[in-house]
Amino acid sequence: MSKIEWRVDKNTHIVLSKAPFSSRKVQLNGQPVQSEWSSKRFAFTLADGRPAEIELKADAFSRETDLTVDGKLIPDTRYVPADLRCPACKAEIQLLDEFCAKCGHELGTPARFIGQRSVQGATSAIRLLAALFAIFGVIMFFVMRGQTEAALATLDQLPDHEVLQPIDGVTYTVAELRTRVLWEHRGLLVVNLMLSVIMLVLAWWSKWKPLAAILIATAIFAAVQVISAIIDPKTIMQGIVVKVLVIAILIKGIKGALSLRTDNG
Amino acid sequence: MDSETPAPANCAKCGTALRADARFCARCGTRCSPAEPESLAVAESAHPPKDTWVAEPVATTERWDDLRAVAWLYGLLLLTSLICGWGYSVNPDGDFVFWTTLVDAAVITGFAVYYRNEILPLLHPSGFDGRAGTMLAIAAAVQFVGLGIAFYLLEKAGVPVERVTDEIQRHDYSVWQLFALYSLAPAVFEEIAFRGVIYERLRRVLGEREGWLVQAAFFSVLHLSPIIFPTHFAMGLILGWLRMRTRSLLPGMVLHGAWNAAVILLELYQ
Repeated sequence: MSKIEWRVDKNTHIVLSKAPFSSRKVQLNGQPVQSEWSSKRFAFTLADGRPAEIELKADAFSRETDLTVDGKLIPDTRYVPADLRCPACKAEIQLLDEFCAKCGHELGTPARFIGQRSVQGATSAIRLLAALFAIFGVIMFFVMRGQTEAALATLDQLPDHEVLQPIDGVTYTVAELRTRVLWEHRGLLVVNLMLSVIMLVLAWWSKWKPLAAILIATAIFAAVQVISAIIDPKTIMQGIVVKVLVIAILIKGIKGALSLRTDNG
Repeated sequence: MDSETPAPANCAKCGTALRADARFCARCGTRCSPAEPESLAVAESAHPPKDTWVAEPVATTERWDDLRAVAWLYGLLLLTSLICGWGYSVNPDGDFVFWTTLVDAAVITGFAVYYRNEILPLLHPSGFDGRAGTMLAIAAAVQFVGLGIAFYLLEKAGVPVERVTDEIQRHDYSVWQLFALYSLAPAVFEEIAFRGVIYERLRRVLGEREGWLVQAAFFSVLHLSPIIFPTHFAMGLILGWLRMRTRSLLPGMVLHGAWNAAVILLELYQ
């Protein structure tokens, strides 16, 4: 049984529920609402006479159930914190307030919560990427170190200035190749830890500048995939589901952050 | 309603019923009861008078289109790098740098033509006046000293940075080809792409300062070498600063070209 709830204000609680093999039911403050579904829309009136409408939206990527009251989109209880407070003075506010009654702080439309939710999702994804980069870097450091130590042992038997056969069209001396080989595993650790730190900084920055932070994180994530794919084409398909999911969450976050910006003018 | 502090029952401006002990109307934000002096100051700073504040009406879809244009350009440049990289692993003798430069130049020219109304004024010779010359000198000093030290330290630490002159070994490039591919082409096309097309789009969505930061990040990330992300981010900031201050792409092209040429010269004569 699926259930979506909206708390429009103190006196208005709307529930849309659907049990298997039965039709959708709309309840207003615990009482069933008498109205008809016309295609994907369900229009009714609230106790105080305001017009309300529930619309079922679905496309290939997402499924949304939108409630509008007086033409304003009302986010459901998954998006809105139960204890609503003014961000400026922490006084209690109502979902449909456009300004705080205590300090006059401009609050925006209720739709802001939907954008905030996507931004929070994207920020969590960025934090997850930070953790993954760090773990990957440390694991690869130890995996690669075993391989490079074998190569270094071979190189150690040769004099520093001996010129080697060209590798990928470029000739190196033994000393040059030694630093390159050393950096095979050290570089992996340094680079991945750096990416991890960058992602952490972006996750922190997204508190203030969500759109810019998520855009940069998305660009870095895409570029890292391309770098890995250049080094080894097989990496494209590794963890493809997680990668697509991360990209989808980030893009949703960009859309959410964009809507926040537009709502605030 | 509290009888000791009588407040009007309805907002004087929009007529909405006011809540008990409300100081502002929750619908239109008009102050509706005399507030205590100390909280008045807070209220005034938190919320500028509604009459003087005018929101800029910009549609989300329009901004989304701007971001999509940036994503397309960024994605196409990533794609050419990917194909070039794969090309190298299949055939190390192939001249992929040349072809990548050519394809990137074509893609960027396409975007520049599409946004010609924004890009052409940025390329006008009149943008390079005396003031721009001063800005260029300042930016050049910061870049050559700051990044010079950074790259020196990277080399001291033993970080292997891809040498441009390796291409001479690979493909028998002549010196002028090297300068054309590594100094002239990046200077012209990367400036048009990042400080031109991408910055102009981001500025509309994010505003000047954030647009500046994000274009610099994109610029550094697209070099596809994580170890130089921080240094190229700084370079993107310097070149972006030039673009913002001079409202022209030409000073940035000169600095970008000079920097890349200096790197080549240093490698040739080391």
